[in-house]
Amino acid sequence: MNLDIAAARRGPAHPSQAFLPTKRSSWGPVGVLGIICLALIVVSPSDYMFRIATQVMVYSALAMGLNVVVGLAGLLDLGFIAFFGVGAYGYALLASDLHGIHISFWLMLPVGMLLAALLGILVGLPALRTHGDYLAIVTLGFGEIVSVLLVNLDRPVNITNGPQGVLGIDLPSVAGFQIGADDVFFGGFGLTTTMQFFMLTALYCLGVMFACLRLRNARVGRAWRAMRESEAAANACGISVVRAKLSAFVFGAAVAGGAGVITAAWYGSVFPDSFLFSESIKVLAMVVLGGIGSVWGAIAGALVLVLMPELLREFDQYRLLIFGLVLVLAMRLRPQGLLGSRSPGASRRRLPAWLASRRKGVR
Amino acid sequence: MKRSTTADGRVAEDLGEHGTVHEARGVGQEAGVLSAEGLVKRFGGLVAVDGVGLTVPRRAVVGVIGPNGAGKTTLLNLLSGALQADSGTILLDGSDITSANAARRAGAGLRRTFQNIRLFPGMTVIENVVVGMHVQTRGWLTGGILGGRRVWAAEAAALQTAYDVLEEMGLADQAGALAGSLSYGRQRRLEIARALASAPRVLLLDEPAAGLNSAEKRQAADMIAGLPERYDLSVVLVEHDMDLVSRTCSSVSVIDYGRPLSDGPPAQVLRDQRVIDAYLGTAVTTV
Repeated sequence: MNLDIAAARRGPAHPSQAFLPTKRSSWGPVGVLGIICLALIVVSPSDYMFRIATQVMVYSALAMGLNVVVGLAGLLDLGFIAFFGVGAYGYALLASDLHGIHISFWLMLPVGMLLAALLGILVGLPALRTHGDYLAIVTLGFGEIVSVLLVNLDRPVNITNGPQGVLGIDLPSVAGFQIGADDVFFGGFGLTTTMQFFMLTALYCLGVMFACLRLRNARVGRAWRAMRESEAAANACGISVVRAKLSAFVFGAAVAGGAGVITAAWYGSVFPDSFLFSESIKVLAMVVLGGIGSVWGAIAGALVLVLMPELLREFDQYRLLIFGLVLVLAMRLRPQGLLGSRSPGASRRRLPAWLASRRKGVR
Repeated sequence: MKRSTTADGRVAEDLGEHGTVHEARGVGQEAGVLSAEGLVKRFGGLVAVDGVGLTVPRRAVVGVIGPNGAGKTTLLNLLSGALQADSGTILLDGSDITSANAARRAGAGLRRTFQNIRLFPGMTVIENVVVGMHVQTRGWLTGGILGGRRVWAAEAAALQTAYDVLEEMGLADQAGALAGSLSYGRQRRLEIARALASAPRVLLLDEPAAGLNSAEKRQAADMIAGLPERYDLSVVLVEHDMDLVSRTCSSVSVIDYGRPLSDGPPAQVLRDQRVIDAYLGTAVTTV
């Protein structure tokens, strides 16, 4: 039983090795995205393009995090953006003049993830004992609580600065160099402040992608997918369903928390209305549009949903109408999502079946 | 008894073992790998299981039969932990697992299959089996992201065991296919393979022959009868099919209206007038 991979490689190959998801399989896709990001930096289009690209990276990270919760573990979380808000506000409050505290960005990045994760446990423990639609309602309520708190925690003691938000958030710095403070030039090649933030965000996004790809085929990812397909059978296989659900929830929360910290640093300001229910829905739409359960799908969903409103700017007031129409058509014509997973081991269930199974609750 | 010639004479062997079962019961229930005492389960006013006990000796196949609605599946759910008993105790290998949940019991080596097959249809066949080996694999969130020798070694070992079990069950040719795409009979076998790969102490089978044709049923009977020897485990078989029960089981417990009615070797139980009255009727003469 105590088999070593290296030893197994040396000996005659066991037929089971054809099904071994190798360690390297997660590096490939991460490398592809990394090369795309690098190419973008080399080509260096306008600052406007980089702002959009950075947004795509932030939303990709969020969508990949939510994809673990919704796509792999099958938990409909409608309050996901609250964890993003906790990360963003965590950094804003602890690294600005509002409270006179200036904690390092690099410390706050893990701390923000941890804060969001802790909140995830706090909400998850009671919420995950509910199923299907009920879980959706509980997470919806939680999301609302967080956004209301952000607006109202300026009285009696000013904590969040209320609807005015927090301005003048610190920039991250590496060895004395402040990211996003000034454009830098190496000979003829320039890195604008936006490009610097793009690099930071892209690195985070790549890290999240790597984690998601690894987890998908790891023991915990199998447990999540098994649980989504049949809770009773997962239980009968020795999987603690509550623990599996909680870890999916917490992982998603941590990813969102980290994205929040980075976004707060990038914008230099946070406002409570950036973390409304509609944002949760937007991220969920990215996951569903891209293809539930697919990592590339989440990225594609983020790309489309960030780009489309920009491309549709010339339609002016009809913009949102067309945007909505395109979404409806996309789901009608491709219910499994743009990149609906076709790889072995992935769910081939289509959206209507998936929604129907949600409606039925425990299965 | 023509039966003794089937399944490589295994039935005769099992019947021989049964003598020790009775002796063991006289001494105490320690001898059973799995033993349950005085199990009660109420659903509102209905008492679905009312004071049922069961002793499963090592490497035995024990049958649980009874008319529709007798509480067979409820009993199996109580044993597997899918339902918690209102009273009674359950011992696995001498340790009290009465308050343990289904996942714990599965981890302790008490595995089950379902009457209506419950696979993970969107996962591959081999993945289904590896999920069944959840307890044997390592790593969770950090282990899953970072990996490490220990994690990968356990993964590779689990995958190998899973493949070997699939091969023995004749499913290896479809190891990479989605479980949902398998034929009905193969899905039944996969569910058993999933439970077997984790090297359980006791396997609870809930109507494993339901929906199989007669050839497949004979095949299933041979397979089930061979499980204890091959995998060093005990089997509790909840079944409707009398032929399958008498081919495989060393002892049979009959329950009716949630109460224990009769138990003993299949041949004796099937002749028991109370059992005939309760549900077998004239079937005994045809067996």
